[in-house]
Amino acid sequence: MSKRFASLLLSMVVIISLFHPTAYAALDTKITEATTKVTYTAKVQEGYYEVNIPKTADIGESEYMYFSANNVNIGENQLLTIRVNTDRTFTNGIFVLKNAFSEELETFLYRVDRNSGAEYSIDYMTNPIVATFSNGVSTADYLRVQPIYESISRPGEYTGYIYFTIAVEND
Amino acid sequence: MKKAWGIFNSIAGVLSVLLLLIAIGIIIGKTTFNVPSSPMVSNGEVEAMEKTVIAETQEETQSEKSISIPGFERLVFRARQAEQKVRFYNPQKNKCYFEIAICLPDGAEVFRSGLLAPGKSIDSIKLKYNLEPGKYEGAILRYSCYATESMEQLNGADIVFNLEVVE
Repeated sequence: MSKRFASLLLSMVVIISLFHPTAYAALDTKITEATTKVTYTAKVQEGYYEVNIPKTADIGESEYMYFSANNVNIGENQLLTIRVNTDRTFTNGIFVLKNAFSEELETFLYRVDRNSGAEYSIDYMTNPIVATFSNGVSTADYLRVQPIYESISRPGEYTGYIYFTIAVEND
Repeated sequence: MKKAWGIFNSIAGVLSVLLLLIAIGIIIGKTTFNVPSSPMVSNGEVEAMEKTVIAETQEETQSEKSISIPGFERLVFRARQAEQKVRFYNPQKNKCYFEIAICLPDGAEVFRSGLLAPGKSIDSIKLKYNLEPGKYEGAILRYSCYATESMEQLNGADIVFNLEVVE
């Protein structure tokens, strides 16, 4: 009788001891792996930056082309500027697309003020600015390409490329 | 009285076996399942996660339509040696190849790379000809871009920088 009673008592002691916080700790230490996260955020070198320019002038999808910049680390009194390289982009002062038959589609090219929405024609201009950035501040406007439909000689795909000049300039 | 003790003994035996089985079960359960300390996520955290996902999706969409162009204000070369150390790279997020050329302010091309895939970089280049010491203000790093899938030409960019050639 006393053996059974002792056995019951011992079982109860084991059960109760399992609910003691130190018992959890003992069990947890067997299954917990300790890790230390070490992080280092590397700063962008001074004078370095990344600019995002539109991949294509796909007017069929959208007439607008946007710019952005990240990791810009330039001087306080400096501006990162994006200009249209008119020497490489324009034909006789305007942006022209061509089809497979080398037929031309003429366009109007505008810089759009991102705040007011006002549009400024940049045709016939020399290397006009389309976006500027400073440290932490984006003042990027955007471009609008408007096809001159009267200049289309036949339906189909017309392609053109815009070349940008990016530079750090003193404000 | 003796009969009662007998019944008590039987019950105590069964109970002790049951309790031992429960104890073993608890031990196995604790060692097998590692339950996170706070599995509940608050509404604020869910909203934050949703915003992050939306922002990442928008950024992904925007990056699909744009080309990330790395630029710099200044580059230093060693005089009278063809091999130069550089750090040109094509960001991983781009969906295009880069062809990179360096032109002096007078338009002379001193270097042209092969196609540089997204995520790849160039750490060393060989110039077409050696340069004399001096400051070449308004040098150009020309990026020509081609779609990775079709090799279709894309918009391009010129980075204007100051090239310093030192002894």
